[in-house]
Amino acid sequence: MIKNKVLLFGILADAIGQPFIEVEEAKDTDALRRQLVVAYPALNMYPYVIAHNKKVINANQSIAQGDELALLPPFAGG
Amino acid sequence: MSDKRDKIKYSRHLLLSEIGEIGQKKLAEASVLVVGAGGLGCPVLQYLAAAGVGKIHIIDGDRVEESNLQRQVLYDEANIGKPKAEVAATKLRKQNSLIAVHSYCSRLARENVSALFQVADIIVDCSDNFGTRYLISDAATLLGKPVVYGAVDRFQGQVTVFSLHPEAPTYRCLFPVASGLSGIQNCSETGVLGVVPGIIGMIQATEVIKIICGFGEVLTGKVLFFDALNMQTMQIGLEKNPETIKNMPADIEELMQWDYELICDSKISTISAAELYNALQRKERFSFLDVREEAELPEVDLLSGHRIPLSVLESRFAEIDPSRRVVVYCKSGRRSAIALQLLSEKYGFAKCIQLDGGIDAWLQFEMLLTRKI
Repeated sequence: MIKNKVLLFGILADAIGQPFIEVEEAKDTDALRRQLVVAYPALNMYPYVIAHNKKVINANQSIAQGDELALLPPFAGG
Repeated sequence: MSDKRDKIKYSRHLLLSEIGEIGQKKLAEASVLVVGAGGLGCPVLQYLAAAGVGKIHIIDGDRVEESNLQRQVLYDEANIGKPKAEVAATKLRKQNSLIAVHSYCSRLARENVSALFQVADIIVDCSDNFGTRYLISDAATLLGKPVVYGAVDRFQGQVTVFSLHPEAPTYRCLFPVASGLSGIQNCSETGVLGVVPGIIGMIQATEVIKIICGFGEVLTGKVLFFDALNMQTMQIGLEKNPETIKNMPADIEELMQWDYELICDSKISTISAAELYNALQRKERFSFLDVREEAELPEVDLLSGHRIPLSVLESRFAEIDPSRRVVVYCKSGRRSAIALQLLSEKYGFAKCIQLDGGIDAWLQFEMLLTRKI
């Protein structure tokens, strides 16, 4: 089974305890989100946006093998 | 540039063809507002003052604390207890007597944002809370001012330039809504490596100088993420999202009605649609309180419960059972936040939480779940 690597930033990496996770191949970013809700409930506590191939997405996007995925939370500190 | 002292002071800038006399004159004529004189604000202020930015405005409502000194390098132990904006202004005037520094010892708020933004060409967001960040972004978008944004969390930082021109992305293109931030904390709660705001602040100062002088490639349309643990940076592309205009006030008059602190208040307990869904799947019991007006649609079966419109909540709050865990919701999360504050603070309901993003967020989540894979 091909897995997608998802980079975690900030508090999300802390919530999971590692800087990335591997999830089952997801066909698009909506499917990825659904997987994460169930597989990583610790992430549900935080808001984040998905970056796909180093671009912030604002609509569903299909994911191909080897695509780069990252979850970006907002930072408050100054 | 005729003054001999200017020529000596800025000689290393004058040698750069990208700045030269024309660029240095642009710096001298520029007016920059720095919101927040903390970890990010200190390096931004020091380098902008050194570079000869002609008018620097500092707004910060805090006083210097001992725990600030680990990263806020403008201050020393003798400054503890004094207003940051005032101390910073005094130091910058000593650093460079050729510039004008104005300090405002208050929080940036909807009452002062418009007047302060009018006097500045560029806004530098060095704030430490989401309420101020959304206020800055919305006001700058409405007034057409560029925002040089920086934010830090422990070992990481984010930096970019928002609203550089009407087609450029804003903070809301990155994080569209100001709700659901209750789980995200600031430096005083999670800690921060002292040099991280220093590094991010210096990148902010660099972008300010580039925008004023017009050289190089401004960091807009992409967010730079920095991680001190592995010394890696990553640039993530960000496009203008026209949809986000729906999430912000239509004009400055409407902005004056918004309570940014309340919208982002970390004390308000919220539950996201995903969390609520998971909890319901686990057969957790809630009772639901719908604070929309009587005829508002749609009705959602899973969330059906008591409806008491916010407008009459104070006269009918007794209908709510204080022993039950109540999820308060409305259309978008704004009225439920007000209702929740009222219920918990005025009437002591301890078990109320609100649905983050309201029915809109719930429907969006449901759609996401039911869409075929």
